[in-house]
Amino acid sequence: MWNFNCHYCKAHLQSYMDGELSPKARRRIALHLDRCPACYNAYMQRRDFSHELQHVIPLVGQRGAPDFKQMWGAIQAELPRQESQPRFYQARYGMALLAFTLMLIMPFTMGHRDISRMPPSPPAPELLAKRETPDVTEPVVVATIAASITVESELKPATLLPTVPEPHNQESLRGMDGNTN
Amino acid sequence: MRVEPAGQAETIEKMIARCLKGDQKGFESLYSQFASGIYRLCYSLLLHRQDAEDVTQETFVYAFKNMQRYDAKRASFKTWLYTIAISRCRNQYRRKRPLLMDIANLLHFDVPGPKSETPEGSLAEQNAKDAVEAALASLSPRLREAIVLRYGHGLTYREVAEVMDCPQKTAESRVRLAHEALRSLLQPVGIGLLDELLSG
Ligand SMILES: [Zn+2]
Repeated sequence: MWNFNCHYCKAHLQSYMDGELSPKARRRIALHLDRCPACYNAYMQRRDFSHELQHVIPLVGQRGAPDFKQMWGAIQAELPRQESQPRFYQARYGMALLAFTLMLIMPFTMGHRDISRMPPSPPAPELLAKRETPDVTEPVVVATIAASITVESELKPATLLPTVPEPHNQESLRGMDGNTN
Repeated sequence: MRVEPAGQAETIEKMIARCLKGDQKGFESLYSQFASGIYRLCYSLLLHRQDAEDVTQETFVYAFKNMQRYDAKRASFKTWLYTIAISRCRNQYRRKRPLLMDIANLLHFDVPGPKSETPEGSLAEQNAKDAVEAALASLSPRLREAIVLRYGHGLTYREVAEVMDCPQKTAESRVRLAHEALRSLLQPVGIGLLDELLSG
């Protein structure tokens, strides 16, 4: 016998099975299922089908699954070596914050001197010389190279000295020696 | 919200804590806990073995490189991982053509002999699985995601909604629609036959 209750029951059967209906609606459907063999049959079929899906869907992809150990090897290879990296970053951020705070506090702690308005002190001459791009044609730079070689000659045995500069540089060095003589 | 049982959840939290300290063992433990589930999810959605392997690998690499982004207050680790996997599967749908599994499989799979002849019902299970796999392939990606998360992985509607990034009501109706679509697709096979196969 198909009636309004059958229609209502069919429309809400899945929600009834999923436990999503109000207690009143649940009671209405439960009462109807007890009295209507057609709807009860439909309910049992749907319930069985849900159970079957719960049993079968987890089987999909279970057979022929990959070698998970091998996949782990591939994943591990892509991970950065990050021993204590998060702590390292935390420490870096902490240091940056500390430096920033000190910069803010310093003008107040150093009396009435406004250090932010002080003209920058000129850099040392040797720093200026080192900042310039080496150009062997310029005699100033040649002097810089010569100075650096003398520093190296203090560190290395004297026998290694001729192998350090390029042939072009050696020529300029010889020229320089000639000038001094 | 937690998917893991209470006892297990603490263990997973410990694994996560080890990962955040840079302990490789933490990553390994999380991987062994979730790898097969993530692969199964990816396979059920993509229905392609190589794609599922690639997406599983991508999911773990992304998750492990971004562990500091995981917020235990917002989601369980499982739903976080599932969200990453689903998003990567969706990228894969866009890259690839629609699934072209032959629905005729539904009607032509081998019907097993009497129960005593099938070794522990494994053939019956295989046939039932093949039929359901072919039916899943014919669903739209959203319906497939909903039914696989709900019935294949036992997620609650709330978790399905969270992973699929949609309202809970939408998740519920998607599961319902997928359920009905599968029922009608598997009707030619006969629910009774599917039941028969599974009771072997
Ligand atoms: Zn009825």
